[in-house]
Amino acid sequence: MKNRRIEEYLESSLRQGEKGSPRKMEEIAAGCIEIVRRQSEYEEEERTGFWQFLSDVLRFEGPAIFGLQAGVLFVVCLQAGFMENVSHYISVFTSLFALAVIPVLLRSQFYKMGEMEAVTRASGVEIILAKLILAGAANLICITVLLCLVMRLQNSRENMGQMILYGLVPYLVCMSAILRLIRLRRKERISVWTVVMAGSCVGWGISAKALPWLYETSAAGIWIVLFVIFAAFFGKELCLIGEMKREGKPYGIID
Amino acid sequence: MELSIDRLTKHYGRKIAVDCVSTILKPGMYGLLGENGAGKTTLMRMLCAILEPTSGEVFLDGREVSAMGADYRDLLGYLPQDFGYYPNYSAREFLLYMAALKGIPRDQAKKRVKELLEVVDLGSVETKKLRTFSGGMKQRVGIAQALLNHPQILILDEPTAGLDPKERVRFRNLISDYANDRIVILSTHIVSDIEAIADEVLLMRKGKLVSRGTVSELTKQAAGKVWELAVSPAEAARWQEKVAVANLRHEGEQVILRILSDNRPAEAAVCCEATLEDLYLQSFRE
Repeated sequence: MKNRRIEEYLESSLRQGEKGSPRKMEEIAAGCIEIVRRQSEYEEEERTGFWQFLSDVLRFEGPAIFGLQAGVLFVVCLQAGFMENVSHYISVFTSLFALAVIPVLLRSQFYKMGEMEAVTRASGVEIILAKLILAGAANLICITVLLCLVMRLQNSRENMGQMILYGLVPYLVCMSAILRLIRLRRKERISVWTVVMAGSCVGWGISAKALPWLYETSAAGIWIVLFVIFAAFFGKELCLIGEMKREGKPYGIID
Repeated sequence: MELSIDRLTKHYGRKIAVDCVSTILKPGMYGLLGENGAGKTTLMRMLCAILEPTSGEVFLDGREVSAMGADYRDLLGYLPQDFGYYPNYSAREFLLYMAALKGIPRDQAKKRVKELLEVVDLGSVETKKLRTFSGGMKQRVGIAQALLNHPQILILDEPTAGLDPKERVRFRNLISDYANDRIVILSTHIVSDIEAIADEVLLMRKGKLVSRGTVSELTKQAAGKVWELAVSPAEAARWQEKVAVANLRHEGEQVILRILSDNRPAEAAVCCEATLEDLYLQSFRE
């Protein structure tokens, strides 16, 4: 509750007022004035807004975020050139893009900087949010390049919508899992989850070989349902980040 | 400015880390003393709003700090006990990064970082990578980052750990100046640091705030309970088993024992002036 002390004073004031004690009323009014005076006493220094903060994060984290994505994209493009039915493997590739975000998102935890960063104006929430925006932008570029490459290799724009879903569903699965992990502060499970997510790449790869029907036009419904489910999970995690930011609750893994 | 701690409690399962701590802090330097596991770090983390209390609240001039969010963190400087660093950043880059997280505009940040690097005596190595720094140098970078945003409330958990005596004196002078119109809370095991600079000492034991007062007020509690006794080296070991010995020094053939005891331990024992360290040892004797 904001300004709780003032509210207590005011409540007390009203109660005293009923009993008609002018001296007490004066004391309480003086108390209120003193609190308000103290609150306005701080010299407010200029602070940057979110966009300036985002540009600062880009300056410091950008090379790592975009470098890792570019590295993965390079490997993926090299690999794609030698594959048959390359569109079936889009889900493997986008999972790799999501995996490449993990080192950046968990960098402060790895270097034990979580506690120090959580006490700054940005706190854990804004730092993660800024990294997510930048990583999301990098992912978007890489996934677009990948889809263009696949279409070029296939010399066709057929099933483009479905190919986008092949890319987005595994991406949303991985990102929702990472955000849930950070929100629940399960530090001890980071390594387990990283292995699980790396395993999911293998899983998507196996599905491309063992379940070819999943990549036929008739399976578009399944992909749409999966997309809706995991987009909802991802959206929920983003909403929870926003909620924690509003409530000022600590977010992120702090040692 | 008034930081009011109201029945702050933190449980970890069945363990009570902080047990209903209530106190009011006004501008000045507060030394937080207590043995390992007394709850100092937990209390400091709750004051920084990075750890949610099980119950109780912290108010800054009547406003609940968790509800103040970024406005509160703007007023806060914090040095954790065991902090990390990005090894590939230079000292200057690291401080600029922390300044960005603190929302300090770039031109102001550059000026402030330069000033602080001089203050903590790292100006000459500002471009060196942090991974090449010694423990004391990293600690000084940590102190500098806590001061970046001109905090009104400065919370320092074991800030002098790893600093050599010259650096400790330099740090004490810096923080003493700083505490004039701000709230500075300092936790350390080095009792002499607290004795030298703290306006008030908060003594914590098993999660509870057991004493609060100025150094002279607190040492009065131990007055008449500190004794010096000269014994032979052979007897010294026997005395150490029998009574609480705060210090032991050799003088010629004899050993001078500093004994903590409510009663005169021996006819030859001489009562002497108590120090904060005596009180600390007496409080945490068992």
